[in-house]
Amino acid sequence: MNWDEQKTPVANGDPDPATPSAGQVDGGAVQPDSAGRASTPEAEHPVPVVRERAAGPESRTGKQIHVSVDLHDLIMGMPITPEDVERFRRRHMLGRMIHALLTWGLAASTTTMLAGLVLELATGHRIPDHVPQFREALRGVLSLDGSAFLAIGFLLLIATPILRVIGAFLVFLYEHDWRYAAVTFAVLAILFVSIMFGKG
Amino acid sequence: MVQTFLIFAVGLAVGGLGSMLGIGGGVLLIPLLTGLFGIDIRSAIGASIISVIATSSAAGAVYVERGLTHTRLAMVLEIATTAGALAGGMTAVLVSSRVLYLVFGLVLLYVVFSMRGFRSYEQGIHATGNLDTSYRDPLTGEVTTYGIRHLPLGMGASFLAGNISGLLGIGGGVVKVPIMNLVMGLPMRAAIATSNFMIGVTAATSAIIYYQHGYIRPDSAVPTALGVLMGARLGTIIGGRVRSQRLKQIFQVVLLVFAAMMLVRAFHV
Repeated sequence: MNWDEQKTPVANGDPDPATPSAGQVDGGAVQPDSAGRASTPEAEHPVPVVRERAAGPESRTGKQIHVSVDLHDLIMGMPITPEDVERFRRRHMLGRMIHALLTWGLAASTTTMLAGLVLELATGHRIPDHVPQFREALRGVLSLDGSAFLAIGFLLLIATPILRVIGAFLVFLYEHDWRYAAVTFAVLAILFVSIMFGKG
Repeated sequence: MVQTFLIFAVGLAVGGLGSMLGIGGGVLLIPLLTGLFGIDIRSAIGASIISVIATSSAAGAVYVERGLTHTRLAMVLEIATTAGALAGGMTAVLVSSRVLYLVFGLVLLYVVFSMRGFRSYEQGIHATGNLDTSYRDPLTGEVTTYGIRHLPLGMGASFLAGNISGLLGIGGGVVKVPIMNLVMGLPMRAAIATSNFMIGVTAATSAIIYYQHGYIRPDSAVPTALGVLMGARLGTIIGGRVRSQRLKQIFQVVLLVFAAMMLVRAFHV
């Protein structure tokens, strides 16, 4: 099953009974039907409809902020189906994974670079004008060689956005979203060419 | 030692100004590093590309968290930007510095021109049934739903942006953002966030090439990157986006001077 929004089939042409009022509440800014969202047959029955923007996305702290995009998809006065919850949970996963990878990758690389800088200055070396090759760098880290830390810091920094692509690829595989798995794989293939043939 | 701190200070200023004016740091960094410190242009590009990755990752995390980034669209367009960066990076290590100075000068002129601003397209934004998504404006709380138009054209623009990024070590947002807004129908905020998101992996593609050729030199790249990161953070704390027209005008003059400097170097005997 593909959870991609543009692929979600529109179940029937009838507008959801709850939709017009919800549209007015939002000043007509959003039209859930034109967003390709399925209006479900269950909507005919009295089902709990979330009318408030309960998630408090305005809050910039805590975990609530992560859910803002997906949740307001869900709460336009539309009934929440288990499928919605599942779709929400999975999209949430992608965003959270990306956020974590970018944040931690950046923290790790800047810390390593700072450590290298401090080591080089403390040992009275000049900051080197070239970086050691990867294997030398790994060995150098063990002997607290500053330039090795600098090289590892660079590599961590370059790896951060690449890890983000690999992470997305794995999430798409897990979701059986083959189209986007192929898209991210193509990006990885180009990166691979750059790594293998970048030397010239 | 002194030079390290001076480069750090330059990075700090560039990062701060860049975040206040909403432009990437690369267009300032490379003229400053080559002009003030005599660093050769390819090493300056290497230092810039490292800073670009750092700022893209830092800002990208925030934008994704606020839900402004269209992640799926970004991943599609990244095919084009990384392919462009691959070609650009490969070209940059081969051609003579003069060519790089020349292209950089011309791109700077375009940046000055684009800073006059364009009437951003916000009225006709709506869902198109193609990659529809929505976001909530963090300030007003208003929800905007939009879809994508003219994806092939967007791919073309992304390739060009990636190409320039790989060739010159700048982010390339100045090429992508107007196209994404005016042609593809993304709201301005989403266009900026999505463009920024793509810049990280685009810059990584060419950074790998520069690294293998030894153009990422710790003595310039480390202080630059740390300075730019810290400056950008300070810039958002102090001022946020500045709307001052005067600052923009001063800035345009500075960039024109830089463009002239680059063109002189391109044609100097």
